Amino acid sequence: MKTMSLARSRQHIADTWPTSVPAILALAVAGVALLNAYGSDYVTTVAIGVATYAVLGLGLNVVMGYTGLLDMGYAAFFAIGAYTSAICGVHLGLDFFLSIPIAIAVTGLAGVIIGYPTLRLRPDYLAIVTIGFGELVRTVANNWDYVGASRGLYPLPIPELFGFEFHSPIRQALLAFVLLAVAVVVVNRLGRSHIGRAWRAIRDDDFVTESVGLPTLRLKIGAYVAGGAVGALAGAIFAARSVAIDPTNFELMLSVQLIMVVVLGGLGSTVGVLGASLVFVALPEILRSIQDYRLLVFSIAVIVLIELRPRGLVPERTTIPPAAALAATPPPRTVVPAATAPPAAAGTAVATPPRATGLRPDPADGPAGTPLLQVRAVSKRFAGLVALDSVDLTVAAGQVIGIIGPNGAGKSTLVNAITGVHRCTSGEVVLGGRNITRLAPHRIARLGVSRSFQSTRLIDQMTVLDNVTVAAYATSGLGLRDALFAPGRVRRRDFVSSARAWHQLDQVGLADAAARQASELSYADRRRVEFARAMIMEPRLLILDEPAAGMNPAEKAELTRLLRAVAASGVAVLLIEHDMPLVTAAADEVVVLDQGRVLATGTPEQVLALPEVIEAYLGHRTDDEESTDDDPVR
Amino acid sequence: MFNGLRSTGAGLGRRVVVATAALPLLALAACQGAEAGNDGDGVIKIGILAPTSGSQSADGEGMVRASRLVIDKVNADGGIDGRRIELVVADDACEAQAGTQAAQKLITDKVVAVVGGFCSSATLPAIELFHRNQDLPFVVAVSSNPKVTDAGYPGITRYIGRDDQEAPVAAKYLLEQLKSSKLAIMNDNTEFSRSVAKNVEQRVKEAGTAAIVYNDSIQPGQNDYRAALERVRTTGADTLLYTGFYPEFGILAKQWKSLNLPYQLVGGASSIDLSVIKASPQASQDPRFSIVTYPTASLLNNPKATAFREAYRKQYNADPAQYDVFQHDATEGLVAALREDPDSLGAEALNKRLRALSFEGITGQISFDDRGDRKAFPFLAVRANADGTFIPVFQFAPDGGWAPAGQ
Amino acid sequence: METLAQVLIIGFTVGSFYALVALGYTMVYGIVRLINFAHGDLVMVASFIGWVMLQQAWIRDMPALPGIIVAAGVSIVGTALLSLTLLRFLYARLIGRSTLGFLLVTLSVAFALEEIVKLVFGAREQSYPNYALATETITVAGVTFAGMDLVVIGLAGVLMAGMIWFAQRTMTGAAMRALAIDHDAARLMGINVNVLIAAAFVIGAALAAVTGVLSGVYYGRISFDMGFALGLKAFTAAVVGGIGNIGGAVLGGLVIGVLEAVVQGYLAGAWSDAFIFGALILVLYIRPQGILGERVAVRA
Repeated sequence: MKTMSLARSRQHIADTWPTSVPAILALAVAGVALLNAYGSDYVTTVAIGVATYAVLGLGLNVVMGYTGLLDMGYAAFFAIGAYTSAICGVHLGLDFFLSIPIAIAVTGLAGVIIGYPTLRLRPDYLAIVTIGFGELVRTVANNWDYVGASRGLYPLPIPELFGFEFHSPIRQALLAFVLLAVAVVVVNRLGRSHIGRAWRAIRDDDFVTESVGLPTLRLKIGAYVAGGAVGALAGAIFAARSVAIDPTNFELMLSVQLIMVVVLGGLGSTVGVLGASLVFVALPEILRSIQDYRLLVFSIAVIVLIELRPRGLVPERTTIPPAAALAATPPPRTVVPAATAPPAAAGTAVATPPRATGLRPDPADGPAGTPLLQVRAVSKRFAGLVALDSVDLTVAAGQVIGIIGPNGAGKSTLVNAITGVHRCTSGEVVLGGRNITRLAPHRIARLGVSRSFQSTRLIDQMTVLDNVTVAAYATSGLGLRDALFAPGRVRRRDFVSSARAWHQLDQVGLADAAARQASELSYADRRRVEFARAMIMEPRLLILDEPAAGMNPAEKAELTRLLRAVAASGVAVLLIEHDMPLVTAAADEVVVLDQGRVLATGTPEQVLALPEVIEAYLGHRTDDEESTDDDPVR
Repeated sequence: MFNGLRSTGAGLGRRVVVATAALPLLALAACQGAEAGNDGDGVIKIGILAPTSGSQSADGEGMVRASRLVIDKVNADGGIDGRRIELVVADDACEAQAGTQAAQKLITDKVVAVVGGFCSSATLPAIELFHRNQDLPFVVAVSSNPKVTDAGYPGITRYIGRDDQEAPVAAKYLLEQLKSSKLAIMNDNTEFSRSVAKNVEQRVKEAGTAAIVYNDSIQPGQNDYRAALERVRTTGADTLLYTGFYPEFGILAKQWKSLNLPYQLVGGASSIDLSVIKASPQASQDPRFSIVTYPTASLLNNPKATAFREAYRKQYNADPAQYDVFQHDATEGLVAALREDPDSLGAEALNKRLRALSFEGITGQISFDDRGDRKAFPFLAVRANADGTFIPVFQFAPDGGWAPAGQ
Repeated sequence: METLAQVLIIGFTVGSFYALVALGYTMVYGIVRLINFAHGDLVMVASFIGWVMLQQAWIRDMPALPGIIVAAGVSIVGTALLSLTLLRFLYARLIGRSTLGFLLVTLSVAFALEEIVKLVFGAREQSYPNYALATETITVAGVTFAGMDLVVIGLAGVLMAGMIWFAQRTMTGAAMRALAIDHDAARLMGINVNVLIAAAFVIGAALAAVTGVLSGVYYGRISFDMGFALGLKAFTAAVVGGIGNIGGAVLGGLVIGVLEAVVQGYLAGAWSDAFIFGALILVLYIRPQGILGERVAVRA
């Protein structure tokens, strides 16, 4: 299968990404033509209502479905969009189509102002703040004379494009469906891009996502704002088809109903949102008698759905390119040196042009042996408990440093202090001459520090391949503009990222498992995926927290070889491990931690001979898993 | 070896495309079912536009009941020239979008006329649609917004007074009967309530005999408005007019009484409901308490009103809601117009007959000016009596102004 | 001055109602770290249970106070059972597994409860009997207040004190505090997590029931949609005061209540909700952990 032609794989990629603008636009127009031919004005009016709801649902889906943020004030974006568009028309005399970008910009600004303080906090705070935001917007609209206060704004000018007036229901339906098509394209492109993958990763585990170098706060704000922008689009549609808008159009109930639409449609599913909008708007039109029970029926449906599938709330569609295509793709930029790589991958690896960063030592780091990481007098206290007490540590490029110590010695806390998860109480952490003490975890990760977790943390709902690919986010060279306007570029670059991830998995012998859900893997395999994920970030410093736990002797030997090879390529390795033979075999130097202090430093042989180490370490060692957390937040 | 890696995602994009295209189609198919045939089969279809869901659903349900009472009787008595009347209820949910859809539904269902209209926010877009649809007759029962008739469409006749009718009448009452010189006005932050408050303020300023010392909103749905009542006291007001709805007015009355506030308390036309008496019998019997109101269900003691209440109780085992009398009269008026010439139910002819009606309804003498508003619309000022009902204390005649009731 | 005193008393009364609901929020949130959107609607259900009881002839024959106490007792039991049932069959399997799922289910339960009550009792407001004790007022130095104001404020104070005592001085309370800090550690220490979660839900429901009946007796009006907004404001109060903190819940309730009264009494009632939610957003900017709260663990 390695001979699979490149043409074939390109063909496959094209199949996976048919989000073609002309096709969707044409179908929207065709739908309107059918409405024109067979639908009464009443049906057309209902169809516009469905389209408006669908656009709102798509926008909320970005926030809630993709990124897992509960926005209970989504109607606020709808309101700001509608009001901005209406103000442009009524007060400023601007053309309707010019008002759309303005509405989107204003909504985006509001999204940043609300999102920035809130999204840093616990996720459920967003729910309560967004309710408040929704009510705030409505109260302002209800009392602000410029926007007509409770009277609302009217009459709204009829949108016009090159003399074509959108005054009848069918013409408004044309406008609504074209804008719906635009929303479908935008939302799908975002969802399928590297950004969409990052959002899903955040939804499932934002701690891990941050630690593999993704700017989660910015991504969350991005999702909140992008969802808001789509809501603004719906607002503009609403303003275009309404004679008047007033504050009663944007009440809390609307936000709640939209949440139900998105949940019942299946979080993250575009088709589901379209279908659920149809059911929600059109069904009560057919069965008037259910109108009164609509809210009850939908509430119960949501409850039943979630109760039946609490985990499967998100219907994850596994879409990864076929392995053959990945394997045949021009080789990844980095691989573990050929000496340790399985022969299968070696053939492709030799073609790799060397890169200035990544596994190759960064020239700025100086020759091997120069200190890369310096931990200087770092202390960390938790509410009276001293976890780290003035710890010093130096790791040079190409070196493997083992850290050992009894349970509660502060090993994991040290990792968390270096990687920015914990703020140091005092002291500083310097990486390659740069002070990283106060940097956010994702920034530290992007400077070349990657880690694995003591209790493995993968994004269980994702495929194994995506678990690794997501860590290539920072190095993919893609931005938001690419996601929106250059799907081809996203497709190609993303494919390269996937191929790199596949090759990393191949290195750890898990290429066969690439398409499986991470949750299906065994403990040892999960560790391997973590290793692959750490390696795709092209680290200068690799921190492994008990990587050998659960491995058999053969696997441990393989791990030792891998570690030596990684170090030989110029990477500094910090190895936290209980397994003494492994540490002795792999580490150049060992640091012993006890009760938050450095007890001893030296070669493994030297250190293990020291009586105080034997006393401290072996004296009260237990076989229990260390119970300190590598995740400070539950 | 790689069989397990086959992508399952290739079809996703296509599904999206198909769904996008199918959406209007499905909407089409879905709604086709809602379209009924025309009024062949000898049935005459009448539409009811009322908020049977949403915040005003209790009032909307009442309206449907009131109409059904009338129509059941007509059908039992042999219908209109032997043709049965069928009611088509469209829920406007008291909001613009649902109102638009409900109106479209009635048009599509080919009703000969529509009776109803409670919330102006839903009624106004419906009026536009009916107008564009050859001025489908719309007998407006309860929407009191001036814009309902100000557009001057020939299809509109309205059975309730106008907001701008209430405001001058209320202002006159406050100034002339209650001799207010320092007036406070409170609204519930809804458009209806605010517009009445604004119009009263304007009238009072024009009259020039009283100062407006307070004009603010309260948030509906809260339980404690004592801080606002206290603030009114500090302004030195001698009278407080509340222009919002009855649930909050009941609480205001109760708390006004318990704080023993020194000013008079007056409720506007939306404040009348028996629940106000229930909330505080002491307050509602206080001589400084009154409500300026349309003649609504519980206030009318003419034989027609009594008969209506009894029939309503018998059929539904409940008292009519306050505005049901207007829906009742509106339905009777429509039936009368249908009866006049059952062979000519086209919009134009029917509209002419609806405008020309002149009859004695539950709510008094009914006839219309050239906008479709009632020529003479009576108002009352009421207070509770000891047996828990409202009794008129003053009455307003369009030509004679306010006078003590019963004269 | 008198006006200020008057407005403050009103604010304290309204705030005490928020505080009672906020205490329930804080109990549950402190343990499961999740917002129970249906909590406000428990107050509504409790009000209706109390109302139904007070319509019963045998209770109507009783003097006012014992009648209210019996109705409140039934309401507490009924609301607690409802809360336990919801916990057992709907919430339990989501706690710790799906935050979004829990939030969405409680949100849906809130609306389902409202719609069911609306179906059973109708959309219109219902009135509690008119109790003399609810309208009797006292005037001291020009400040008029109802005896009920003192009852409400006093009750909030007593229940707060009781809960602080419970949390600090009882084993269950200590276990709950341990649970709030670390679920796994608490489990290792032999604490039966499920029982404690159930206890928190029951206490929260009981407080909601007290609030519901008290509010019905005092203000007289109840309706199917009274709970959600109350729940939101109470949650806002808990957040402002510092969620998870018993004193914070009461302080937050009083802050929100006084703010509401001051806006109505001095500023512009039209903007009262804007003030409250504006204050919430402001607090989250300046002091995300709330007034009395400990630092909110910021997600890494």
